Amino acid sequence: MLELENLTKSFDSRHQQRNEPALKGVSFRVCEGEFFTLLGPSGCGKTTTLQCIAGLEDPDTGRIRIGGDWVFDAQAGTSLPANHRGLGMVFQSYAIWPHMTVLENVSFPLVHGVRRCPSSQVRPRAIQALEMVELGHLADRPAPLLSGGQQQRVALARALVHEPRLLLLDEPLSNLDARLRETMRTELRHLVKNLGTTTIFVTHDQVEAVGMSDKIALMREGLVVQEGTPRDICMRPNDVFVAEFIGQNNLVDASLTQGPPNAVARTSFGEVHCNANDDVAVGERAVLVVHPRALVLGDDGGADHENRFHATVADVIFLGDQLDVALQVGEQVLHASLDPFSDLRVGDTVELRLPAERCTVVRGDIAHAGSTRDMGR
Amino acid sequence: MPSRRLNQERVVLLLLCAVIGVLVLGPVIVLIRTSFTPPESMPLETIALTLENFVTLLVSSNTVRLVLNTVIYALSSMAIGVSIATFVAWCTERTDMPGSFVIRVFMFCWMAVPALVVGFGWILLLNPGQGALNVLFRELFDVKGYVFTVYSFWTLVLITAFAVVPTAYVMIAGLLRNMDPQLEQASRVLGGGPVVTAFRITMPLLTPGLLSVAIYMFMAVVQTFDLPVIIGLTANVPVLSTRVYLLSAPVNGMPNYGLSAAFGVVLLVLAVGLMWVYLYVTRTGERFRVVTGKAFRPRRIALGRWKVPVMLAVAAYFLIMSLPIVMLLWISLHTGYEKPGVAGLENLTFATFARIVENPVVIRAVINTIVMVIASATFVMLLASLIGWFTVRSNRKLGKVLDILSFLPMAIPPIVLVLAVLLLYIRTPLYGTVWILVLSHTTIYLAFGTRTMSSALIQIHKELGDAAMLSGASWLKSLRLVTFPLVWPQILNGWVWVFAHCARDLTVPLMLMTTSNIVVATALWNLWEFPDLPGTAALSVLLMGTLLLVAAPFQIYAAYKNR
Repeated sequence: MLELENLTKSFDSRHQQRNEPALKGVSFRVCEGEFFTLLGPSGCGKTTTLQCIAGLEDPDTGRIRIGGDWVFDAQAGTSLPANHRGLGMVFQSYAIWPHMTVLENVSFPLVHGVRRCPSSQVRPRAIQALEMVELGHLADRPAPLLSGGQQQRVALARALVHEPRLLLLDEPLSNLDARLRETMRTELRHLVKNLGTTTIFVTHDQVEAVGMSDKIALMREGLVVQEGTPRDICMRPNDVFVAEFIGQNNLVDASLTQGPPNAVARTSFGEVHCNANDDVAVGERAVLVVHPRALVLGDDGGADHENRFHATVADVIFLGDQLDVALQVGEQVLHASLDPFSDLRVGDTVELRLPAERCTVVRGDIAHAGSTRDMGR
Repeated sequence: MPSRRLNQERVVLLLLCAVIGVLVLGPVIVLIRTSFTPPESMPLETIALTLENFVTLLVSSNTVRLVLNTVIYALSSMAIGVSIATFVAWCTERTDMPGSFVIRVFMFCWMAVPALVVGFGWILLLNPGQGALNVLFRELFDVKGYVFTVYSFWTLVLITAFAVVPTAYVMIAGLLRNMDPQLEQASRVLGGGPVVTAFRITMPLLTPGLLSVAIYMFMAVVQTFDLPVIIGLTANVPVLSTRVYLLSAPVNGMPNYGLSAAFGVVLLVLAVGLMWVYLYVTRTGERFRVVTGKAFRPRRIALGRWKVPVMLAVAAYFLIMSLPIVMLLWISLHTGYEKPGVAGLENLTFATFARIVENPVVIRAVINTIVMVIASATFVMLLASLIGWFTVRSNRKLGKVLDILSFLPMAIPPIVLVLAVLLLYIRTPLYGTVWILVLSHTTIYLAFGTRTMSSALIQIHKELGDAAMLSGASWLKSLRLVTFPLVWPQILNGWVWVFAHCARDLTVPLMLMTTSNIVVATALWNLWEFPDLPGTAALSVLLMGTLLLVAAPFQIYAAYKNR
C-alpha cells in the first residue's frame, strides 16, 4: 500500500541547529489496512517522514509509492502535489479552520478537493462523517466554539470524509488531557480498523504506539532503528537505544562469555544466563536489558539455581498501582516494579532471580544511550 | 504526473520575482546609469559614460552645505519629535493621566493628515507678512514687523518635528506597552526604589528600542520632501531631496537629469547606510527581548500633584498641533483671505467649497486620485500577501531573494525612486498616465506591505494551509479559501494605510506631473502656487476629511481593542 525507498532529506542549516540531515535513508513498507506507527524522540525525523508522504516536503533522494503510483521520485524529478495524492491527515494542532463552521470544515474535501462529489451528496456525506465521530449534532456550530477533544474529532471526520487511501496522523493525541487521551486511543484505533483505512501514525509516546499499532518503526536521528510488532519492540529490542526508549528497562553493562543459544553474560554482579541477539559478538561490550517486571523476588520455588543473587532494598517508592523498588546488587542498582501490596522496606535483604528467558543482551553502549528518552516537544 | 518544476507555487514565485525585479531593480539600475551620462542628454539616449556629474557635485561648495543641511535638519527634527513622542507615550501608557484613550486615537488618526496640508496651515499662521499669529501679536503688543517666521531653518525643523511625533508615538507606545512588567517588579521587590528602577532597569531596557525608533525617524526625515519643498525653498534651506527635484524639474531651463541622478545616488547611499545601521541596531536589540509580543498590563505610575502640569503640557501640545488645521478650516469658509477673529464670523460661507468642487481640474484630480489610491493599495496588498507567504513559509532560495528585493525600497528615498521611475519610463506611453503613479507608489509601499503581511502570516499556523492541501485543494485555493481569509483584518488594515499614504503623498505626483495625471495633492500644489488660498484650504479640508473618514474607524476600533 505504501512504500518508502531510501528517503534522505537535509534542511537549510539555518532552520536546523545541527546541520545534520533530517532523514538519512528511511525505507519501509506498509500493508493494506495496517495501523503503522512511526515512533521516536523529537528530532528523529518521524514528522519529516510523514510530511514527505503527505507531499508537504520533498525528500532529496529516494522514492515514495502510494497504492500503485510512485507519487515521488527524486531521480525522475517528479512529485505529485499534496492535493493530488488522495490522502487524509489529522494535524498536531488539528488545523480546524476557525473562519468556518464544523460542517464547512468537514465538507471542504468534498467541495474543493480533487475528487469532488455532486453537491447534493455533500451534506449527507459530511454529516455521516460527523456522526461517525459522534458529533453529528454540532454540524452548524462555528469551529472556534469547540473544545479540544471535539476539534480533534472534527479533524478526524474531515480527514476521512473523502475516503482517502491513506490516513496520516501527526501526534493527534498530544494536545489532549490525560483522561481524554486514553479514551481517544482506543476509539481512534477501533474507528480506522473498522473502516479498514491504512493509517500512518506519528508519536513520541511509546504507550500510545504500543497500545494502538499493528506495527511500529522506531526512529532515531533520521534512521529506522527497529521495525516490528509492539511485542517485538518491547520484548526483543535489537539495540540499546530501543531498550532505553521503550519502557523503564534496566540497562546493565555486560559482555558475552558464551554466544547463543544458552548465552551467558558477564556483569559487575556475576554471570547471567540470557537471550542474546545474533549481532552481539562474544567478548564485545554490550548491554544486558532486564524488564522491571521481569525480576522475581524471594524464594519462588524455582528449581534452577542460575541467575540468583542477593540484593538489598535501597529505595522504595509507592505509586498507588505499583511499588517501585531500587535493589542494590553488588555495585549495580536494578529497578523492579512490584505489586503495591508487597511489604518491602529500605534495608531489607532479599533473594532475587532474573529468569533467563526475560533477559536479553543487545549491541550498544550505555554511555551512548543516555538522554534519548525525550518526551517533550 | 506533473513535474516538480511546474507546480503553481513555483510559477507564482517566479512571476513575483519578475514583477518585483522590474519594479525595484529596473529604476535603480537606470538611476545609476543616468548619473554617469553627460549633462544635457536624455536618459537612455547615449552610451557615453562620464564622471562629470560626480565631479561637478564634488567640487561644488554647495554640496557640503546640502549634506550638512540635510543631516542637521533631520537630526534636530528627529530629536525634538522623538522626545515629545516619548513623553506623551510614557504619559498615556505608564501613568494614570486621564484621557489616554482619546490621545491614542488622536495620534493614530493624525497619521492620516497630509504633512502638505499641515505645512500650508503653518504658512498661513506664521508667514512674516499676513501670518495670522504675526497679525495677532502686532495688534496685541504693538510690535513692528514680525515675531515669528515660517521661512527659517528652525521653524522648518519644528514643523517637521511635529509631523514626526504621531508615527514615533505609535512605535514608542508599542515598546512601552509590550515591556514585561515583571522585569520592573523584580527590581522593586529586590529593594530598588521607583527612581532606581526607572534609571537602572526601564531606561536601559528601552534603549535599543528607542534607538531604533530614532534611526527610523531620522531616515524618514532625510527622505522627506513635502515640507522642505513648500517651506524650505522659500526659507532658502535646500536639502538633498529638494535639490533632486529642482534639478529634474527646474523653474526655467532644461532638466539636468545626469546631475539630478548623481544627487539621487548620493542620497541613496546615505539612506542605505542608515538602513544598515538601523538593521544592525534592531538586531542587537533582539538580544534584550523585552518586547515579547504578549500583551501585558504594566503597573501605572500615579502622577499625584504632577497630574495637572502634565495634562497641561500634553494639552498645549495638542493645541499647537491643531492650530494649522483650524486656520485652514477658517480660510476655507471664506471666499477671500480673512484674518481670524470675531469680525470674520459674519462672512462664513461654503461658497469656496462649492466653487472648488465644480472646478474641472479638481474633478479630474479627484477621479485620478481615486483610481490611483485604490489601484496602488490593492496591488501593494496583493503582492505583499503573496510575498509575505513566501517569506514566512517557503524555504526555497528564491523566497529569500524575494524577501530582500521587497525590503530594498525601504532604503530608497521616495524622491530618488520616483526620479528613477521618471528616467526609466519618460519615453514610454506609461508616462503621463495615472498608472505611472500607481507603479511608483506600489514600489514605495511594498516594503511596508510585506512586513505587515509577513508578521500577520507568521501568526497563522502552517498546518491550517497544509490541511487544505491535504483535503485536495490546490495551493492557490488553499491561500484563497483558508490562509488569506484568516489574515483578512491585517490585509484590510494595510490596505487602508497604503490608501491614506498614497492620497497624501506629494513627492510622486509632483515629480511625475503632466497635464493629464493631476491628482489631489498636485492640484493642491497648483492652487497654492497660483495662488488661490481659499481654494487650497477648501481642497485641503476635503482631502483631510475624506482620509479621516476612511482611516479613523479602523484606528478607533484598533485602539479600543488594545485598551
